[in-house]
Amino acid sequence: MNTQKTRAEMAALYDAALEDLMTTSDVQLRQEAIEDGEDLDKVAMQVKTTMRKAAASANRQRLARAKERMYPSISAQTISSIHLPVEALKQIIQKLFQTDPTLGLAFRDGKKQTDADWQSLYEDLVSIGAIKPEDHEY
Amino acid sequence: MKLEDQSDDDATPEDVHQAIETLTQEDRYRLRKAAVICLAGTEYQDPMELVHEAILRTMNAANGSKGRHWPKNVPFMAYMIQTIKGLANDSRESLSQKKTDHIEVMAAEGSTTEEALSTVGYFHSDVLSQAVEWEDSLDRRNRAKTDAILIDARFADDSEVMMIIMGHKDGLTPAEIRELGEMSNTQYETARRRFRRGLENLFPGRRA
Repeated sequence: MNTQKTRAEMAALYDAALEDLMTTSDVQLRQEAIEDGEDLDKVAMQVKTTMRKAAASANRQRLARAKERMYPSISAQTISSIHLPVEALKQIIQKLFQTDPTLGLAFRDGKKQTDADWQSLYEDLVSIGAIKPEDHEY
Repeated sequence: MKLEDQSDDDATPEDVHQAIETLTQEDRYRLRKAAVICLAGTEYQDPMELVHEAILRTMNAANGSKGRHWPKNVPFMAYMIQTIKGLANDSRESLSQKKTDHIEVMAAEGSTTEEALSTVGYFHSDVLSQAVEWEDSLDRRNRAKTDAILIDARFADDSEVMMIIMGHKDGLTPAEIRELGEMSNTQYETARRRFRRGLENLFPGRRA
């Protein structure tokens, strides 16, 4: 017998069985579970758990994809800050601290900062979204 | 595709979550039975894997990625049964399966298996993997035939079910089967139920 023909015939039989399953009443289904020695509610809860896990897995995959998209973007932004003059970085940061003083509290107040400190701070502020590099053209 | 590109008729992730939570216990049990029926001849090893895959793909589509879209105008249960069936069919009709089927036909027409494989650019340098692939193909082909024989043997003494089996194999409609078998609607439905129950017990969530 031809393999494709056999598969098509089997598919038709599975369809017929599925059609019957969809028209089987809830009461009849519970009766079948008893006949088969199955705990319907227990099996139903296993199905629910499986479905919840699958949904959670899809959400994790989505977050992972979003993370992949986000990180290259942040890297590109921080790399661009290296090309800014330190005096420009200072101006941007000081202006930001004036508009949002709470951010300045996180910085070591009153001490002399190195250029690397300013650069590092700038990158941190970009990464948390407080500074948008595209707003500052130098 | 992004979330904002989706049609208003397509389900959102929240819709899918809600559907999962609001299904009745009987429908959840029904879904597992559907997966049991569809499992034979697929790569899936457990009916729950089919259920898991169906939800995963539905959620992926709802999240704006590649997957299976649930149009909200279709009841969730009907959609899930169709998706499980589709996944099982896809598995049976996988690309490698199609290729090896083609090769089998070619090989049967006088050439050797290796010649046939080579002709369609499917010859692996790794002879072992090639052999395993080939055996898997043969295994699946034989399994489909074995399933058909098992079903026939299981219902050989039930003339009404045999009528249903033969009718569906020949592509007849339920009305045509009823007419041909001189069955009432009730007789047909009762026989079809015996067939479905027998099928479930014949292949109770086995390794495909």
